[in-house]
Amino acid sequence: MNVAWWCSSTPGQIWTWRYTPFLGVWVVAATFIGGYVLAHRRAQQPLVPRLLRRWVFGVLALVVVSEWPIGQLGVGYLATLGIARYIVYTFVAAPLLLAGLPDWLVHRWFPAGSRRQRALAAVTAWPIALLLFNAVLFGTHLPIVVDTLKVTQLGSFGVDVLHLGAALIWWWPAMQKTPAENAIEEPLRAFYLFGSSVLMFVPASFLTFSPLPLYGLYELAPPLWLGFDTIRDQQAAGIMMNVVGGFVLWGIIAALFLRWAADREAEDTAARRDRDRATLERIAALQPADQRAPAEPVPGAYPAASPARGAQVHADPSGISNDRAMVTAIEDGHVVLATGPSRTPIRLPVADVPEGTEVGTWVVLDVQLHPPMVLDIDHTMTAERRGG
Amino acid sequence: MLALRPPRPTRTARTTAARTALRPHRPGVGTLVALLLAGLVTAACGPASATAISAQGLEPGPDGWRGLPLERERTMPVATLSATDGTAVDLHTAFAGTPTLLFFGYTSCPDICPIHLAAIASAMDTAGVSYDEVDVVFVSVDPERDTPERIESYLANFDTRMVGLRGDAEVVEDALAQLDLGGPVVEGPDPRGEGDLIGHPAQVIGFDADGEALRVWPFGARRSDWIEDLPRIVEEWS
Repeated sequence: MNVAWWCSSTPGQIWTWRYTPFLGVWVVAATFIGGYVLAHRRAQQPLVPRLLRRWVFGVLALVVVSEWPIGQLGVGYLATLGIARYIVYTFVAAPLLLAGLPDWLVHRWFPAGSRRQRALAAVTAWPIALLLFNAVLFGTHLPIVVDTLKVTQLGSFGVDVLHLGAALIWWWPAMQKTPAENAIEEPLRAFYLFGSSVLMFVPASFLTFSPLPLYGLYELAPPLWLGFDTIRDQQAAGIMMNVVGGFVLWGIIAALFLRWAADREAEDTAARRDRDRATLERIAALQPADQRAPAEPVPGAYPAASPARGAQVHADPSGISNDRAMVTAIEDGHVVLATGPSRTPIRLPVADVPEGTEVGTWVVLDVQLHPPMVLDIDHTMTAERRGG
Repeated sequence: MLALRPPRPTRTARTTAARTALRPHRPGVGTLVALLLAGLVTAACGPASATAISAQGLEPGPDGWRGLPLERERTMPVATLSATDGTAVDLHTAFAGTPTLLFFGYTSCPDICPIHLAAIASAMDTAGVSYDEVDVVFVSVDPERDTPERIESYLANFDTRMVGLRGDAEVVEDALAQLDLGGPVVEGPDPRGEGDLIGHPAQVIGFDADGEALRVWPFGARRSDWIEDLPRIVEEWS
């Protein structure tokens, strides 16, 4: 069996479907997994399945695209697979590896104040990271670099190490959580990632639109099948870099942005609730004591299934986000609220309205929430209506 | 010339040396792993096979040509072969009057032949050189497997205007000998499981309109090389 350290290109060598193990790939994979487990043992920290899974998938992604056959085909025969390897290294393996690192391990590997930590902090500052990533992207796709380095196993290994290293540095600020670790926040993060995807169009366009094969090692590689020309392969590689790379990256950008937006919305909702509650309490404090007492439940009123949100607040709301509505019907486990003659009635589950709500009861709503939230029964309006 | 002297040891190196001197020498696991890695990395320095062809194409000569000049005079061989439609073709006379690129290969060839032919076809197209201006001739060195139909469909993968010829093994060997090239040699089974590999000359030979061989393009010639040379062929060899 033919054994090699790392996949490399040998112009003129015939492709065969005979397995060639690349020892280096397995050594790297074993080092990554072994180092991870060993670090946990030494620190007497339990392996967190969720993080371990990400780390292992990251390593697996590296193995799949570096081992035979994809590694060999990508380095020596098909530019399309060469670019696919780059995409997996950069947009799949690197973020998975970073997502699999527990914070304590990062601090252990890069102790605060150490040289390593200072070096890491220097290279992962987002402008430097962006610069390094793009320098590696452009530099390692120059024809002279590819044709010189990828024809030796050591050179090819070096290029792959550069790709992974640059990707880890580039993802670092986008995936960290605290500014102390060079984290960048939305919307800057989205622009940071998007900016790189735009820059990636430059080498991708060269691949797609060049009338000649850029890389000699693919041009002089024995064809896998007749009729599939090097130029078509190169165009497919450019399209893959643009479209697939773009899709993967934009998908990640969208996911990170949506997660950030959801977090912000949750924070806003909580803040608004607090503000509503404070407003109602302030108003309640200003009302005469006899009006503060909750109205006695009317005999036959609908009993609520659970204490409603804001059920302890008794007030006439006057905040801009609040509104009043009257219960016009209770049907199928929902109450129907009319907020005005020309507005669409609101249906809410009975569990979400305060105890004692019945047809004709007025309630206070926070209409800025979707769906609106019943804050309390408006006892004043309810009593007035009954009295009238 | 600069005199080289050993670099001054760094503080880390000195500390490490001091530590090493204080304890008994016993290779640790780390050392063994480092040695193993060093060995593997060293092993990685060479190419995976003995084939050593530069991926960067041919170097331009002092005259700007990429094709290599021939020092000895050779002419288009005198040999009668068959075209794919069965008509007899005398190499020496049929292509007189037009610059010709002649290549000996076979349709089961896994590497050199398709790479050369694809490069020429693509470069002719890109450089805007027509097949009326330069003849591209493929002569099979594998008459047993290469039937006229097979040659025709093979060349269709590159350009139907390329001329495919075949002949008896002796005729082809004689044609090669007239060009001081060795005859085809069976090299052993094709690793892809497609019969035998046949050794054959790896260069494309360029003849001017008078039938004189002037240059060769060895394997490793890229499209960019052909794009440089094809207009010169039309201009200087017609």
